[in-house]
Amino acid sequence: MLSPVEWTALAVSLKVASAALVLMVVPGVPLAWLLARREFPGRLFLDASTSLPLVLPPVVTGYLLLWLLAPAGPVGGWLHRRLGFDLVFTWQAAAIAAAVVAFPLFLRTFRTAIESVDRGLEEAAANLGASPWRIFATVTFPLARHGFVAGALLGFSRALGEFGATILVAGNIPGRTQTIPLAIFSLTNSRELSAAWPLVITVSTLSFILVAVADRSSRRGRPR
Amino acid sequence: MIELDLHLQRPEGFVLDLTVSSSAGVLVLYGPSGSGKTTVLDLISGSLRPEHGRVRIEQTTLFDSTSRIDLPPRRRRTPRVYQEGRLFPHLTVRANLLYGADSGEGMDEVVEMLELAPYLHRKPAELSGGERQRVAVGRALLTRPRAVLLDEPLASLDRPLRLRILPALKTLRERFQIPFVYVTHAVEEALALGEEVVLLDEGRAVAQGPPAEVLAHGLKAPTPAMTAHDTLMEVVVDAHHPDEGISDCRWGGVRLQASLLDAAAGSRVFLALSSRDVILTRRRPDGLSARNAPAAVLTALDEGDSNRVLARIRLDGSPPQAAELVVMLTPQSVREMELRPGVPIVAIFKASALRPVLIDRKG
Repeated sequence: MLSPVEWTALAVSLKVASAALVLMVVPGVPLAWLLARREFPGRLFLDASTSLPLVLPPVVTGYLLLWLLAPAGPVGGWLHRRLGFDLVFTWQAAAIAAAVVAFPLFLRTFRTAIESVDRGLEEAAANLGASPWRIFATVTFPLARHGFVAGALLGFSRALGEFGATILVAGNIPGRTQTIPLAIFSLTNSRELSAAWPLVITVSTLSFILVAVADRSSRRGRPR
Repeated sequence: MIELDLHLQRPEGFVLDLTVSSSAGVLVLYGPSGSGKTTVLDLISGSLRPEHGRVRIEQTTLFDSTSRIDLPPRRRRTPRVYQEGRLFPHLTVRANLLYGADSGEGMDEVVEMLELAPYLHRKPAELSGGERQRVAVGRALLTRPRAVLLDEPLASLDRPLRLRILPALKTLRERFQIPFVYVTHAVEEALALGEEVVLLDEGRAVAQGPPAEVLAHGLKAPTPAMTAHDTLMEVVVDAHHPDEGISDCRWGGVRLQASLLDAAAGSRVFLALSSRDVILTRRRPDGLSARNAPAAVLTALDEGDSNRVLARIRLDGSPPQAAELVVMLTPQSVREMELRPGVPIVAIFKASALRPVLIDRKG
């Protein structure tokens, strides 16, 4: 059903989305906990700036990322000088773009789950001698795990479908940075519109399953 | 030894000002809701910080504002047993019990004494209220605590269950020799467990001492929640008359008859008498159906408000330290009967008006 080029696009998509997921979860878990449970200066700023990609046009997010990551940019320049490595137009850049755009979905879902955990249980754990880290690992996280799973699935789905920011920082190089949405874009530009159907159906089905599972998971986590 | 010196002003206007020192095994904080009982536990466990003061348990300072000592809650070793249990819902009973334990030491004993063996592999949601509270007590004891803080742990249970758990709690505490600070507004819990009772009212300690004394005094405490209450009498059971459904009791030199009591002759029982259940007459009437008509003296009249008067009376022959009986009257009755302090009087109440509050089977 899919051509070899299209299979490659699917593989690139899965690779990019998986890497993006890791990039989301690693800072996302502590950040969700901080925003849900702690008061600190700059909290409002952090809250707003991590939610920004949700409402910003992905092209704008991509533009800002391109400025950051370009060989002359603040982050890209440092990488270029120190490691001789250029991020722009690599699949890693696509993963970063997807991670930034999808981050708010993971963060908000997991954070809401943490907020719904009874603080009284955390207080009880502290009175039983548990450290903050142990409380998170043994009480908060296990009770918010459905939100973690739902957020990860939503973030992964969003990363899978990322287009606007990706095309700016990673280009549209078949076999390297061309993900399914980019491949669909190319097909609609070059050939007949109907040639994109197999990819459209593939990505729709995949996203449908992921979102359905995510929804089920967050429902199960809701306090009865 | 627990030493508390706590001063706290909450933004809502509540002021706590409390100095308590006690070496009792079970220190009961007793008082109406809003009197600051739970706040005291929050201050001991470190959930709240007093403006100034001191918290010491067995020579260890947990908080001291002058020397700037403020141990975080997890280092205080003052686990709490909450009214609603707060067991970890995702963990089994076994994992809950061991949550704060360094080792499994004492586990077998706790499981046996609290009769938890059949439930070890269940989740809290599969337990009854009483089972959950037993797990919560066990979980606290296994942390090798300095003191266990119990906040109305039995309040959500029905009365028969409460009365069954009380002796187990007492035995367990005596076995582990860990001080309990026990918050309650149930007289029977205070009587059954308390070696010492602190009566709290509006953030202050109104009285401190042995339970029977303090709780009887409590009836004189100046809040509406406490005055209209019962009078508490610690009586000795003399004999039972099952055919008549009556038990003979003695309160000092006063002979009383109560509905049949489930207690051995010679044992001590606490009986409560509501101020609404007592009738006063100037002379003992003929042909009376009520079983109790002891002679008494009116000691004081408190004008409660425009339509009720609280009369305090002392029964002839009642124990020297015993509380006076409080009787609620209308101002009209006071006028018509020409009641004033010093007047001899007869107090009339039914056998069934004497309600057993707590029966100590150990006698």
